[in-house]
Amino acid sequence: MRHDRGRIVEENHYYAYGLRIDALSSKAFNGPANNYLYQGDFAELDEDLGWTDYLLRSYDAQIGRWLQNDPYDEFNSGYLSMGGDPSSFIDSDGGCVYCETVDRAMTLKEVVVTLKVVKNSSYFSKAVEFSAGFFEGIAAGASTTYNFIAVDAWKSETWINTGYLVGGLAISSNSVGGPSNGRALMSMIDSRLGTRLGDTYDATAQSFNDFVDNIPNMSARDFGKMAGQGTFAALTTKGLTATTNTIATLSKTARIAKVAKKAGSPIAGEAAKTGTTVLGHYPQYVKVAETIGARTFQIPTKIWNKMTPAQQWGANQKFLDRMILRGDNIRLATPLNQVKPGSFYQKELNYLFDKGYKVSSDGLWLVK
Amino acid sequence: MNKNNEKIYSFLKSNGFELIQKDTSSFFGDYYDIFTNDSFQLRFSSSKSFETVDIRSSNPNDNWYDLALVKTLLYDEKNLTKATTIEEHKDFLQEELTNIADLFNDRNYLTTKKRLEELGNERAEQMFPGVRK
Repeated sequence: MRHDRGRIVEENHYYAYGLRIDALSSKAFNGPANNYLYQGDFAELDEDLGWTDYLLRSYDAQIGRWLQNDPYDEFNSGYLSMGGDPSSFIDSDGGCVYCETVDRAMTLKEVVVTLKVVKNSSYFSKAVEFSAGFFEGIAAGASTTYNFIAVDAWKSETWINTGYLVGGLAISSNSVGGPSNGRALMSMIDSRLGTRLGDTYDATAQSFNDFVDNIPNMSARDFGKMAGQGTFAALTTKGLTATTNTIATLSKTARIAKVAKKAGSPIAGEAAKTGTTVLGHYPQYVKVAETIGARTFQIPTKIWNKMTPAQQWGANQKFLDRMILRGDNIRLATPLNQVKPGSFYQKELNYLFDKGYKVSSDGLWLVK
Repeated sequence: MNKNNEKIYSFLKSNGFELIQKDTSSFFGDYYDIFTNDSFQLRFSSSKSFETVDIRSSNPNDNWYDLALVKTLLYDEKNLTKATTIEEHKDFLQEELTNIADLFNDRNYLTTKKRLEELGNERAEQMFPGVRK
């Protein structure tokens, strides 16, 4: 038998924040395209700008910062990458650092947990609060939960369990209100008791976020707390069936609330808060966004002024694409009869009209 | 206060206007400066590097109108979709301040307002035909 070593077609080395070390990296002439670079997930590197387009955001490895604001609002700065700690955390799509990090840990542990519902949820900011409440709820449900974490889990058989526990605790303590709290805790319980609560977590979060979004009088945190208490009770008494029943009941309530929202009931008055993006001329769009607590496109002046018009529009376009991907409601702060020819706002509107959006009859929204 | 506009601001001040409100955003270099002469207000603003001027009566509940529409009204221009630069706005203000003031005096304001609304709608139709649901 003979083995010939194949030639290396590409080799990449990176600084911590993803800037390629050219002196150590190489690529064969005419080698195949490779879109799996720093962090390993699909991304497109723009060789001219040196920016990398990940699924949700663009990244500048020169400065180690995202170029758009964090859709998950995880850190004080919306532009911070990998939580400011690239040796510990990954963020391979420009989304959530902590949940992705936990996801990888779960793969190691082969715990079945799906992240996709929460990651794709337009209610994510509520989910963050919900998760924090969930964690509190479990604790409120029984103080022994903490004992479970602090005492029993330390007796876990393998180093993986221990490492996972430490990771979960670290996430919980570093990010009170972080989205991973509930999930990490449930997975810990799963690994300890052989349950699959982690499976139900995303469905629970989704139902509760639906609920919270439609009943603005109750905070996501309070609702998460309720859910946590319910889950703990289910865990200790009737097991998963009870949890499933709790979810079903709350989902039903959420559906009722949605019907009320469609009928124009005041209980759904602030439903547009999450998942709404405001477009318009300055200063109208800022005022409207502040009033309804909605999202806007924001690039700091210093960065904006350094960009060419093409780069500015490229970043603007990506913001619109992400907005479409999230399925946001689109509120027009400036009505059509006040749109200035030649403005970015006109360009944004044309882009969205080309994507099939129309202006609602009251002129305030873009609808499909 | 925006430095590029110093010349036009001093022109306005010498014509009885005063700066009554201003704001600068941390994003995109957006800003606005509002001047008034008690009869009407002028707002200089930048939205994502697009600088422009708007006008409204001194009633803070009234709508702002693009100064380009006032120019269209005065000059009876037909092409409403042409972009107007900030320099064109400044030149227009300096040349036509008296005529603009006439349009916004008590006697003419209601007619002016109606015409500006019509022109705004017409411009929207020209820029975005058939986009209403």
